[in-house]
Amino acid sequence: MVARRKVCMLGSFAVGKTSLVERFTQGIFSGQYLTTVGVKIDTRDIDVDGRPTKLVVWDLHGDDVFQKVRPAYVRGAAGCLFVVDGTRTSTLDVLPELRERVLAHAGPIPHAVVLNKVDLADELIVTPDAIRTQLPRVDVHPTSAKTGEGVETAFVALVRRMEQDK
Amino acid sequence: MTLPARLASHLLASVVETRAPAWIECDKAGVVRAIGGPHDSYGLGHLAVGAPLVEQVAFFEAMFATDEAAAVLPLVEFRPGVYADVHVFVDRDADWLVLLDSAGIGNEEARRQQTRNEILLALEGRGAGSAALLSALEVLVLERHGVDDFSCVGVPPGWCDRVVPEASRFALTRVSTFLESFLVDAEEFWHTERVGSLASGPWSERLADVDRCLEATATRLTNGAALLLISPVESTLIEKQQIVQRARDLALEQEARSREAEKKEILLHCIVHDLRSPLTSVVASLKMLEQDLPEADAARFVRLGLQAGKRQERLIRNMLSWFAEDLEGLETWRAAKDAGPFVVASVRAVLDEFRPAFILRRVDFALHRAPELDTDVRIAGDGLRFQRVVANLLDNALRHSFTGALEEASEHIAVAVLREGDFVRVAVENRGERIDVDIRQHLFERHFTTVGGSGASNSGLGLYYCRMTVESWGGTIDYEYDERLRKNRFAFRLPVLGAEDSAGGLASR
Repeated sequence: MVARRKVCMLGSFAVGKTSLVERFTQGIFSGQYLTTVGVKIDTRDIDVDGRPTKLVVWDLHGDDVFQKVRPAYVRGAAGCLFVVDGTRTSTLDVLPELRERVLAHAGPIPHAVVLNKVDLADELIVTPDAIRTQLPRVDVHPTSAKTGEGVETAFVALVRRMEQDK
Repeated sequence: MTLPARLASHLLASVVETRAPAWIECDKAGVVRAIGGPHDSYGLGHLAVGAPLVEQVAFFEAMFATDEAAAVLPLVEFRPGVYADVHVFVDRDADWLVLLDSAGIGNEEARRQQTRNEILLALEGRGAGSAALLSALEVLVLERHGVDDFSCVGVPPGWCDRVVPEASRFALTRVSTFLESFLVDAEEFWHTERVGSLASGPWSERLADVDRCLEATATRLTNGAALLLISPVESTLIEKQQIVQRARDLALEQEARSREAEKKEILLHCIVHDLRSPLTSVVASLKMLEQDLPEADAARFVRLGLQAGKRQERLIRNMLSWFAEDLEGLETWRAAKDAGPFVVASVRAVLDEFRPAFILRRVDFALHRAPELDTDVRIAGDGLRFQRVVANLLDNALRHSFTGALEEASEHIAVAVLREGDFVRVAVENRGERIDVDIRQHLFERHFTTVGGSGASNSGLGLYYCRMTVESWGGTIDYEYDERLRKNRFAFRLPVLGAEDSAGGLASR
């Protein structure tokens, strides 16, 4: 039987959560920024180390003054990815508090930070080290939803962590 | 259809056991000829044989007004809560009424009807108008019968064709992943019997091969019925999305403008700082020359002053092109594998520039180079900005340093350069008062002002610049205080050129 695993995408607005999900589930990328209201749920069947898994990806709206992530959204999640926009330090600054809030409700589930938009090399100001300074011992995956770089790796690594955590 | 005798017998026994059959036989004139079964449980205990039935129970008047030999009137309520299906048989010389208990179904149906009516009344109470409103609003109303046990109230709206199972009762968790999660909160809401409602917030999900934007609301009616209302919210979602999108676009624009302003502010600081450092050296050299110095010392200060003056002239000459490049390069810098400043030489050059000012303020200083550190070691960064970082820290140290004689035999200001694996560590120390704990946490933040023994200073932007520069090259910067020696220490670590990839410096890839 194929295991179902809920994965939540979290982070500030316009960091590329929806683009990462679209890249991962459909292999597409749209450069247009269209804010997410509420939750978008998508699925993808994935085989990691010979174990088939149906990932149910919850793409949550950006967390800011306009919309706060509801605790109920992360309930039952087996893992989550916190997304940072490599061109905006503010998206890293809010992460420790958001992470604390999410893990308080979801429990100590496997999670990692995705450093997105690494294709914008000239504009990158957030480094993996800067993330590790704020969130020690958290895996950091540089990604580009635009080119697809690192996206599969980030999800697969999370699934592996989730399998170990079962 | 002919049933086997044993089966017919079993069905009869089952009906007798579960449906409490009672019967009334009337002649063709409508006079009760015989009564049987538990008729009193249907509220007919007063029936008497020999009297016309309709005179005893007016209710039955229309019962025989049928041309059919047999008819069934389901869910007849004989008294509150007492229901029966009434079977009518018209025989050649007699008419029969058979009552079969249907209280369970009747009461359930009554409750559902009540629920429907209450919803309609509630809607009408808001001025919504008619029963058609529910359907027009496209609200799917589900009634909860137990944990994950629901049924539709009324006719489901068109949008949920194929989404909601046709079965009268179904498990909602099989319908939607989102609702599976929301029901946990909804169950808690229904169990606590809170008034009002609990909204899920909008969600988008592919249901029955169609992308849906929906919102669910758990509520409870005054009769205790637990309801789940599900509405399509595509149009309101788009409206809300447009508002949030606009607000966020503005926030992004504001962020970009702030970043641009910040870069310009830092550049301005850099210009001022770069021009001031050599000028300080020139002024200090001239002041030293006012004193009666031996000829060799005087010549040295003339040389230092001249060097600083020429440096300033060069800076001014190159400033425009120099900072035009810097505006782009402030955030990122890519090290050519054969570029990057020599650490020891660069630190020594900055110290030389500060030398007249140190001497003038009677501040001793020294450069300590670890023996294992090669003089040709380079860091992965830009030479000018590296010197600016060191100069910022020295400037800070000079302003906050004790002056005059020290109790211990050590310098007022010392710069130590060490090798730590793939990193070089540069520490700038000054003897002086400690920085308050509250202030320490914000030392490297923008617009922060350090406070030393001589009061507030304006070096905050300088420290912020140092942090930005060092971090953009994959390094770190920190501050600590040595209580025993009363020594402030600002230190930064940078990857050695060629080792920055393994050090994780993304911006310098």
